[in-house]
Amino acid sequence: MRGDEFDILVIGEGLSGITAAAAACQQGSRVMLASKGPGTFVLGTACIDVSGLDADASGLGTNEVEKAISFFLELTAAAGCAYEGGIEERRLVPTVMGTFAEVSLAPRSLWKGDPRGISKAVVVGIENVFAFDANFVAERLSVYCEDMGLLNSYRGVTVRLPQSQHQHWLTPLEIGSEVDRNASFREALIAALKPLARNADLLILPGILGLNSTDDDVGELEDVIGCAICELPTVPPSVTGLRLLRRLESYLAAKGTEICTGFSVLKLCMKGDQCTGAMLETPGKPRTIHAGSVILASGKFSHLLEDEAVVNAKNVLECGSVVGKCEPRHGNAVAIVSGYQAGMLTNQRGVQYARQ
Amino acid sequence: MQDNNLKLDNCVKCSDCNAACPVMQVYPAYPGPKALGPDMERFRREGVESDTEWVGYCMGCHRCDLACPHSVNVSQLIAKGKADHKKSGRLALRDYWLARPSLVGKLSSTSAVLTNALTHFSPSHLAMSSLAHIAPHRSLPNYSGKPLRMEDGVTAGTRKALFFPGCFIRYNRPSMGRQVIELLHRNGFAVEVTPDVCCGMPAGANGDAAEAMSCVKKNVAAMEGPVSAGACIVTACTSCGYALKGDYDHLPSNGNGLAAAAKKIAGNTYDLGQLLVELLDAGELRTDFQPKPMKLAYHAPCHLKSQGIGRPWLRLLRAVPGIEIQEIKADCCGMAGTYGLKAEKYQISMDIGQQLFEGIKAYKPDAVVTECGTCQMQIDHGTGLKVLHPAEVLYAAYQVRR
Repeated sequence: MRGDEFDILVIGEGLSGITAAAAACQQGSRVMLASKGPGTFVLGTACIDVSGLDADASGLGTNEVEKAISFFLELTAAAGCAYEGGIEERRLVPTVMGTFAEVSLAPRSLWKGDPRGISKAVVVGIENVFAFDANFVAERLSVYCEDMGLLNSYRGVTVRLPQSQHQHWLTPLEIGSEVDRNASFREALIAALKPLARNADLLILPGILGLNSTDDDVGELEDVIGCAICELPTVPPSVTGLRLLRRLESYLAAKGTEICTGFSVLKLCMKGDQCTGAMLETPGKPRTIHAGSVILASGKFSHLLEDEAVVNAKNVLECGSVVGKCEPRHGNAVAIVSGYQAGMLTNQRGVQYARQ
Repeated sequence: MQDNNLKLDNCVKCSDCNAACPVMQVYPAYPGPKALGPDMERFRREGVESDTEWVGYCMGCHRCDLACPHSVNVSQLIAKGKADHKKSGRLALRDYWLARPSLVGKLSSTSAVLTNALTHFSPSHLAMSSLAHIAPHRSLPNYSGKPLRMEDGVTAGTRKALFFPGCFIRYNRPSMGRQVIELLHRNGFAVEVTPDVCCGMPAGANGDAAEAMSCVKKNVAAMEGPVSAGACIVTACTSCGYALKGDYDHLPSNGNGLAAAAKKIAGNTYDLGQLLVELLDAGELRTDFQPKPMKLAYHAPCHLKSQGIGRPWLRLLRAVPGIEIQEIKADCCGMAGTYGLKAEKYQISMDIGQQLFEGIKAYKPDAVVTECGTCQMQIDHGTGLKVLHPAEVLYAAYQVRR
């Protein structure tokens, strides 16, 4: 097969595009994932709410929801960014605004933040790091717990790390980068967390534990300090979101998916009622990608949706927010289920087209 | 250099550019692309003066451009700030020379033996470093007494290629440039070498917009004719390649035809790997390779990524029996052309490269391959391993005897 010929082209690397690409590449299809920017991973909490999702109304099918969610759990575990939870589960996870959100699935670290499983938690802030105020978060979480009749306590502590000596505000992004690169910084972080862990069963941190770390890395840190850690996604672009994206990208790349980030799709190419691929807006001249099937995971504001011939093409499938209406809280669930479905469908069809 | 009036309002302050910036990751004091690009441009348009002291710390790697979901040309906006920034004294003088690798090359290669002796003799190297504010730990590349010239081209061939070697290949690695010509010739190309004019990227990176524009004009004048006659331009340095494709594509239209002619240059420029892989796909590449058992680590230069052509050399070198090659995914190498040479930026440059160096060393390759000349210098400096241009490996696989 030629370099720019693929069985399946996925456009967009948000949650739905990535899930679609992962489902599509399972059975040996050659997949390209083309995107302009890092999707919504860096914006949200990456939590998933399935409860109350009317699968039929969203055109998804109940059985598909179960299959898609278990596929997603397997995918994230294999990629080193495991999710916990399931369709029937409900948990409360804390937020940087000191509230709780009720979700069905969440990244493992956030999942640990449910107040019903803990008694004494310490919310740890870092001096000079903006967008996270430990006392504010602790105070608000305590009030919410009291309202719910829970007896657990939250204590806010702000620690001083070597980087705090800088004269300016630091972002969680900069701290995350230090965690990745600087062994002595990690030592300092451990030294600061250890004493706090002694009288607590959970440490709640802003999302700072590295952009490249895996679940195992975070697990090791928990073992060293002797306490569970819950990391809260901060203002965008969040370290936890970037980490999730990087892990999933690495997983896809290892499975042979070609990832092309940074170029808009100029247009989808049509031949009769079939889409033959896409033109990417690369410098000098556009790069033409040939594909047997195309999955549009481009978000609902994409200019590609304006062309009816494209939308109606038999080998173009849509997923994510392109699919249609749902409650905002179900956005991620719909992304995963529709992405999974599109990936599975084209996986069969795509190979067929390439053979023609 | 570019006409960038349209995209500024697309910036919604999401900070995806900051998350992608290699300098921000190692140097927290750096304000980052969002502040130095779109934010500062807003001040400029309002006529409000802002501090441009930091703009020189932008590496020009384009990672911010690729990360922006709204197509804001962040790095071009920072380049505007660089052009406005007034430098003084030693730094102004140093950057004057760094902006003109072609002139430096011409002067150095006429007395290559003396130049190389001076840059490798430690007292004179140290004296020059401190005078010119060049990082003393850097070993400077050797200059060849026989730089690549127009006479190195070959006339026989069914297709026409115009080889734009760029200053590094022309003056520092001309033998590698001759191998590129041989590779093209072997695959049916008559090869013409372009006159010795820089692509203009180093000038832009050092804030010298007038010099950059002068390079563009000379190159367009030299290449327009051959391109109109059906030749394709071939680059083997990914930064020159990006300059010709990306920067030449969007010149402001001044009614003198320059922008249109430059656009034609941009549309007909191919990276060497891109061209050869197209031949491979079409079944037109000669594949009479000799087995070359070797384990290679590959680094994808930032300006390859910003061309959006994938990783052509991985496919090409995998077509050679015996070669095991793997991309080491660790973002930027930190060199960024002349950036890592500067004394005040040396540590930033090495900190950025750290993850790549570690990744390469852990892979334990026989050699490292990468297309960009200054990435080669940086990886050599950071790992001590042998670093090659992938074209050199392919050339060796053909076992060409001259």
